Amino acid sequence: MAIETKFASLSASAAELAVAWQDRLEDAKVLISYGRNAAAIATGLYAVEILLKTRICGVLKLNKMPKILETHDLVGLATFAGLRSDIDDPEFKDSTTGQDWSKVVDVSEKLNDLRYKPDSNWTKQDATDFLDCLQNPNHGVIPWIQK
Amino acid sequence: MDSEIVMKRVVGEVANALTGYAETKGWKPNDYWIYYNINADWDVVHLIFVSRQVGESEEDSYYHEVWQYLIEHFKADPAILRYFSLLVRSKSKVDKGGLSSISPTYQEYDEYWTVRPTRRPGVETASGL
Repeated sequence: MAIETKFASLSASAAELAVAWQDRLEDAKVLISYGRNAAAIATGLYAVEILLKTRICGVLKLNKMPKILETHDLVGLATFAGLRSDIDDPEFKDSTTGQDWSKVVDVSEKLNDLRYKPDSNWTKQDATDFLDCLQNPNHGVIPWIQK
Repeated sequence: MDSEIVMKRVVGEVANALTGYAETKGWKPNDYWIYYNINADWDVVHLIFVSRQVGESEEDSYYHEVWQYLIEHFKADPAILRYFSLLVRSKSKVDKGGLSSISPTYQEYDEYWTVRPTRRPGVETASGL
């Protein structure tokens, strides 16, 4: 697809995205409770991606997401979402939220492993720790993106 | 200048600083490993500093200590701190794999730096690959 078409074509609606990220987060919790750790982590990643896309739609005042944003690159999505100055700030990097963000970006590099390797590669502790990085009310990535 | 070249310079400078930190702790060269992943699209480098001297419950406290060392090390050029993210990992946790594994998208840095894949048969790496 030509890059111009990617910019012009619109994908999911902002209203759907605003519900979908919460659904994916709930899915991740259910998957943990059933011991499906890799799927829980991957689904948690999807929740962050969709939340960032929701925020981008808000920042850019769009009713639908441009197809060019159909990417797993969290740094790119955070840049479009207006969070780049936070992410690059050395003080943020020294905070627990900054560390959680770095951990989430690191896990996003393993998305293919999460998709294609057996679940036995991940423990319940891995999945629980990752969900804490996402949703801890004091330092989690999701509360920070929502601010 | 090409973004990837600039990011490689960042990798080299930060890796030298992390080596300096390791030396202040008395760590031997085979006690620690540095991995990097350049995201040239967005001008950022992700680094993972792995040490067998870091306990599994000490990653966060070591991270803050290393970060303070880097702030001091780069006080004449603090802008470099904006171009990379860092994780500090325990070797034993990396060996367990899962969430702490080193992604194949990362490359290992060594003092004779050339960009090459992490996986090399017969050579011990922190990831155990």
